[in-house]
Amino acid sequence: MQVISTDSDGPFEVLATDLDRDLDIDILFASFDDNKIIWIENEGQGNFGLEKIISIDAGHANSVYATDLDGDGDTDVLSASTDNNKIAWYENDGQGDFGAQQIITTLANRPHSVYATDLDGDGDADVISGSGGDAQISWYENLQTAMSDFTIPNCLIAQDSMFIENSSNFILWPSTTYQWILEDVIISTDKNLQWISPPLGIQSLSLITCTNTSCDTLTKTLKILNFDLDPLPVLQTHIPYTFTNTSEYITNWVWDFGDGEMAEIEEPTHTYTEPGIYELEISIYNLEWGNDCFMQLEYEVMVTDDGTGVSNTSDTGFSLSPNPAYNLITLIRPYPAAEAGFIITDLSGREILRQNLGANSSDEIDIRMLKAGIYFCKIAGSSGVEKLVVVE
Amino acid sequence: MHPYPQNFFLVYTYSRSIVFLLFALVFVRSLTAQPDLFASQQVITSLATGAVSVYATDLDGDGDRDVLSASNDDKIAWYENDGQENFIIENIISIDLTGLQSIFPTDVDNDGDTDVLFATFYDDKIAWFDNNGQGGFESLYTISTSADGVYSVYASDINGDGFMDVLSASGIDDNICWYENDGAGGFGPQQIIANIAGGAWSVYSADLDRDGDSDVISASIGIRLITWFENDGLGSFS
Repeated sequence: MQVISTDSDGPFEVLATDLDRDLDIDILFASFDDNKIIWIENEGQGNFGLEKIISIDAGHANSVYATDLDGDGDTDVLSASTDNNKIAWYENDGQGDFGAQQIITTLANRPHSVYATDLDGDGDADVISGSGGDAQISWYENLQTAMSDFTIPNCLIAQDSMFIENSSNFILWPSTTYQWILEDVIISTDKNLQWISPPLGIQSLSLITCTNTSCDTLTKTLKILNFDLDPLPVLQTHIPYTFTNTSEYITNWVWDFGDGEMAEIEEPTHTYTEPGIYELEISIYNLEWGNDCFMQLEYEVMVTDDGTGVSNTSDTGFSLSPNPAYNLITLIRPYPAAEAGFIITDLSGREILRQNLGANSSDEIDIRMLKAGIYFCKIAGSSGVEKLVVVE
Repeated sequence: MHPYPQNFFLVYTYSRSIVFLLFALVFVRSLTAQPDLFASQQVITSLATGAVSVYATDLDGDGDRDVLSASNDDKIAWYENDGQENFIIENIISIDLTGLQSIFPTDVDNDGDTDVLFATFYDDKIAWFDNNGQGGFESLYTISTSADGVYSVYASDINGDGFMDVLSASGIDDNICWYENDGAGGFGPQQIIANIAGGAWSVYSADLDRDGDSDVISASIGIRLITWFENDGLGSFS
């Protein structure tokens, strides 16, 4: 006789099966008096480890069963608990770690027995319960069937790389296979579609999802247009700028320049009169593809008096000293706002340094990482920009 | 030609990746409650008063699985699967099994169909009903009447001869026992695997040490004990 456990509080039904896929047979039992479902790992040669609790919520559990319920190749666990009239299951992650209790029914009055096997011939394990209180034998059909689902917007801007998330099935069984089909051509068999350079225009995209026993196809219409605004320079006040861009499959444009002015043509020319950073909002439509095919894009436009990118207005709300500098600058803010961010960009607008600021009127900024050159400094969320010269 | 100074620099190139980020938000699905893996309860019968045990296996040889039940109203019955997921007919195997505690479906006599083993507590009996291949269970064969207060019955090939031997756990004499099957459903005398003071409640069998034979596992509810017994391959246990 070899003792496996003396801890359990009333082991009512014991069975043995491999729960952690290490090829030896583990022990599973219902512990009646402490409402637990417990398994004990066979560590090889019949040496058993500590109790691992699957559930503490199986009120006076007196039956357990183990089989693959969700078709992922490992052994899941079923329990019948008499106190709460409950048949429940616990999903095995394959390593013997079990998910939360998933209730199958609470209508089985004092269930004394639970079992599972395929009753309707569709390849998955249905559940059977016997309950003493209502004299019933009942079954619960396993609904594991393939179901394709994915979501795409009404229309899309072409991306170098596009990602479409697969939302098929409520449980994604590892045995499930997928085919993404664009106009009769299989473009991916991955779960999610990672798509390099999708073609422009209207095309049909289908997802075929198959489990061991069934397949489901969902087809949606994909509408891809193209909009690419040419890189914006720093604009100069009182000098008109034409917003050149690449537009394909676009029928209408609405430009909101951020200064109260609007335009509705493909490449409008606009003149800003005041320096600052403006929110440019472009709405693009393909009304031939439907009223719901539109997108809104936002850009920042920097406008200065002289086109150097350095504001000569005094509304920055901060000053820097020394300037030029080489290792440390002091940022002075007469009216410091709490939790501001200080940003240094290079001439192309790329962020080089960002430092969080408290509500201090004076902050030290370490700039030793900056190479010699000209940089722009701003407080996040405000429009003023100061030029910073860094010397060796 | 652009009518602007040539010393432009880019302030903010609206990168494609940022545009993508914007659209990635569109892909976020509204999170709805997960549908259940299982459909709602479908009652097969309401006549199994004090149901204690259920199994499902093909009992009438038509290829689908039928449901087998044991209940405290002294009844073993099975419910035929018509292949359309209907279990309409209650087929009573017996209604006079006083103290029925445990059943186990297995092919006892090696004739290719599934017979039904059972244990009755009060008369200390382990016995089986022979399936005639069509789900008729007219013949009853007793294996033992000396499992005092038998709670649990199970079947497994204990001595490696290819036939399903029978295991029992009995709660009054506290014995875990096995009974050797001769291959035609005839059984040898009771062989005691262990006496567990404090109660023998549940018995099961599996190869726990991976030496190729069926070891025996028992659970004792009274003394909170789960134990196993190593089979030497011939039905001697240590």
